[in-house]
Amino acid sequence: METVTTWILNIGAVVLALLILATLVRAVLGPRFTDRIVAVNVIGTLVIAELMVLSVRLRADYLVDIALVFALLSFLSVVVAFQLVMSRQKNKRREEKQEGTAHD
Amino acid sequence: MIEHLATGAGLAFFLFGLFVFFSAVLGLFRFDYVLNRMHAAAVGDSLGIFCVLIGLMLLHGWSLSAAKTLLIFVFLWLTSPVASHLVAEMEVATVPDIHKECEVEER
Amino acid sequence: MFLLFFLLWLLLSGGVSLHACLWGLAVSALLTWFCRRVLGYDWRIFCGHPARIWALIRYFAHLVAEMLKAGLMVMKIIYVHPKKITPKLVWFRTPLQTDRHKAMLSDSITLTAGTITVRSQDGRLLVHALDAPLAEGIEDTAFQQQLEKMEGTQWRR
Repeated sequence: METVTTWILNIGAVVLALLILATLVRAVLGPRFTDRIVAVNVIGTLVIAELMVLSVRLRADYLVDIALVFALLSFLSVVVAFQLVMSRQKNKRREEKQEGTAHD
Repeated sequence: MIEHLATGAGLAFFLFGLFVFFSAVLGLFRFDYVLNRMHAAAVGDSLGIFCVLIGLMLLHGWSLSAAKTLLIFVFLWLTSPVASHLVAEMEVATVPDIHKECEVEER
Repeated sequence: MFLLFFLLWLLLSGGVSLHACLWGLAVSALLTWFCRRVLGYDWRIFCGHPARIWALIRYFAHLVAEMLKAGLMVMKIIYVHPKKITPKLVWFRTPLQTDRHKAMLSDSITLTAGTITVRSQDGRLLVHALDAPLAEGIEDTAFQQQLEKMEGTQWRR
């Protein structure tokens, strides 16, 4: 039982690492910037899963805390990107409106 | 006996979660528009992390780490809908022509 | 809320020693005061009528079941016919009144894979559905009925 568990956890860690690489390819390919943000968000989730697997496999409890901090940070990054994009969008709209009134 | 049962159930959950993650990443590649891809990502975020973390909690056994895992899981479930809502709103606000990608219906 | 902070402190410090307990008491008292004064939260969100707590538990069980079903459905779509879907944006009106219940409804809609809440404006929600059948009956889901019932029995200030 012990060896089976160890093997499955090893294989799981490798599979998760490959999935992270595949998602990274998606993030590089993504035609729009929202594609990239979605891919980065998925990478965050996968990294949390990977950290949890490692914490069970290596019996290292501190990795759980690291995963918690990682979850906080990946959520924060999405929120910051949202604020940036929306404020720029608002500025662009305002400029367009001003240009429109100037041309009229 | 019960320990073996818990380990077995944990491994089964973990493998199913890996499968879910695999299909989520496959969906990221097979769909062709951001809003559709986001659904695949949402599957990984909700179902995948649910299965993997339940499995790992069973493997951890009754300890502090399992409680912390539960905390991470609750936190992810609280934040992942918010994150995908923000991404969707960003997309709809910045895309030049939404009607080309999907039909809009009023009810 | 105080209890919640205290439990979180104990969980993160990882042990029930006298030192941890004392500092935890001080910090969670401070945080509770901060939340009530500065952020304007109310601790009475968490307690209330026992029937309401029971309704919340039932709601979350229902949410988990619904999410499993929706996840399996989206996985089927991913494997079977990913190119032949008709994504759809639906505006619909929700009868829920308070912001808290609206937020819970849109969170639940987003958490069940296949539907994502995009925007919420004066009592109307814009929902993106992956496939047209998933969008059917979105304006009257079981979530909404349960939330309406909870809204009817909720404690008022």
